Amino acid sequence: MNLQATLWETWEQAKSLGLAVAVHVIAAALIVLGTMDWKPFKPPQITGMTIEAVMVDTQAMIDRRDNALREAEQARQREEARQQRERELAAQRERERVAREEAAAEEAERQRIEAERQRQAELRLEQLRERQERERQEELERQQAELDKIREQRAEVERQRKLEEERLKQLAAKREAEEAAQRQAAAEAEMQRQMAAEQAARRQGQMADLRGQYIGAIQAQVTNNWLRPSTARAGLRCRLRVVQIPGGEIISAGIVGACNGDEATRRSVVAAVERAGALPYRGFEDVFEREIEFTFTYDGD
Amino acid sequence: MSNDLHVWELILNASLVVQAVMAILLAASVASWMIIFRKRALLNATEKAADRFEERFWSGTDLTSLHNQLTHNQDDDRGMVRVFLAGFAEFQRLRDQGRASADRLVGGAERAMRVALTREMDHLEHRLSFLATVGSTSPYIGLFGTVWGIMTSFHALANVNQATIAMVAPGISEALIATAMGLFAAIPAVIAYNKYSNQVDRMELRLDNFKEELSSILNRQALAVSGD
Repeated sequence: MNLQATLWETWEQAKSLGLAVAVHVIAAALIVLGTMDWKPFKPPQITGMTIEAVMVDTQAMIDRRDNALREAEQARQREEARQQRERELAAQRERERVAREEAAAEEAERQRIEAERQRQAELRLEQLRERQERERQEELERQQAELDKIREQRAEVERQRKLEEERLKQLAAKREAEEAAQRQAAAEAEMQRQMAAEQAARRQGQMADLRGQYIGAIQAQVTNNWLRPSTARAGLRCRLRVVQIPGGEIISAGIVGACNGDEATRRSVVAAVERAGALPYRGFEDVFEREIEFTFTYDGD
Repeated sequence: MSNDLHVWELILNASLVVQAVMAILLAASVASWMIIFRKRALLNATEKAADRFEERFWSGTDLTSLHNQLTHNQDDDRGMVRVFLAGFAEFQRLRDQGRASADRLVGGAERAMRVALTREMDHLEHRLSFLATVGSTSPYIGLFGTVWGIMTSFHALANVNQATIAMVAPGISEALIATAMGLFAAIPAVIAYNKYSNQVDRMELRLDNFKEELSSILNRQALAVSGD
């Protein structure tokens, strides 16, 4: 038992820790998503300005040296470009000659292929024509067959229609019979429901009877404990409320609502309840109530 | 990617003091959420058990058989049930010993119930004060981290002739994260503390009422016993 309790406690701790971590992970994810489109910071350039001030002196010198170097380099580049162009022109002429020869050969080949293709096409056309003729014949035969079939079907439909009419008549007869049966069943069900309702009412009546008996027993007990004062008159009606605990012991009693007796009578009625000590309980457990109200009556001896 | 400073990189690049503050706040927040979830489960279970027990108690069953049922079935063994079991067990024990007056019977039962009630209340209130502490102090801890971060980021400006806002902005932004975390930890803790302490108070009132009612019932039974 003790070990089990410790295990349970540990499990509870782990569960709550998991939930807490989940809450934080969700919050962190929201924050990261929400700040995704922030403009990134540029790193601060703390030393940039001082360096620029020192560089002003040397700038012109550096520029001159750079210019001389740059010019020499440009002259060299121009010479190289000229030589390159000449080499390219020679290569170009050679390429054109080869291309012309290749074109002549290609032309001859192309004509041969063209002739071959034409011959093939004529052959195919002939075959196609034959096939079409055959298909037309077959189509004719098939149409004839179809016509026959349609005629047969029409006859069949007519027969079906007659059968259908016959069946409809039978169905109508059957439905009438069924409706009659249903009406009878509904009438029976209605009768049964009425009987059930009567039974339920009777059961409720029994409950109400038991409650009536309970109230009656309470009234009898209170009346037995009542010491009638001389001022009490017949026709006394007092509404009482009693708070009790299981077992029937009375916790408090008081008059609620109308009471047509004088002060002494009222006091005597409450005293009667308190003298009773305990209300009836055995046999009335089903209708027991913590607070119960009833009317105390006195109609003369 | 050195100039791509997102929030998590700000946290990683923060100074050691600010990072320590953030770590403390994160731990406090996780702990307070743990307590929030556990307290919620405990208080809900206690209230449901009390509802079920009150319904059974006032439905008119015999107290002795109710006591026997409850000692055998320990599912709802918390809160109101414990108060009832403590009080009624003591009452039965004294009554079986005999020779005890009605006052002593009821007095003993009341003492036992008071002890059980105090123990239950202690169990319910356990660790609630931690929530109050987190709720009231974590904003200050976060503020401390922020102040420290801003201090260091201004300190770095001391040697520079021409200061720009771009030089301090990342530092301040980084420092303010500490305040945000402090508030994030504090707000749920305060809300939960108020809610749960109110719930615990109502539970205490309910248990106290029940104790009084039960002792008046026991008083009647004791009078009936000593009267016989």
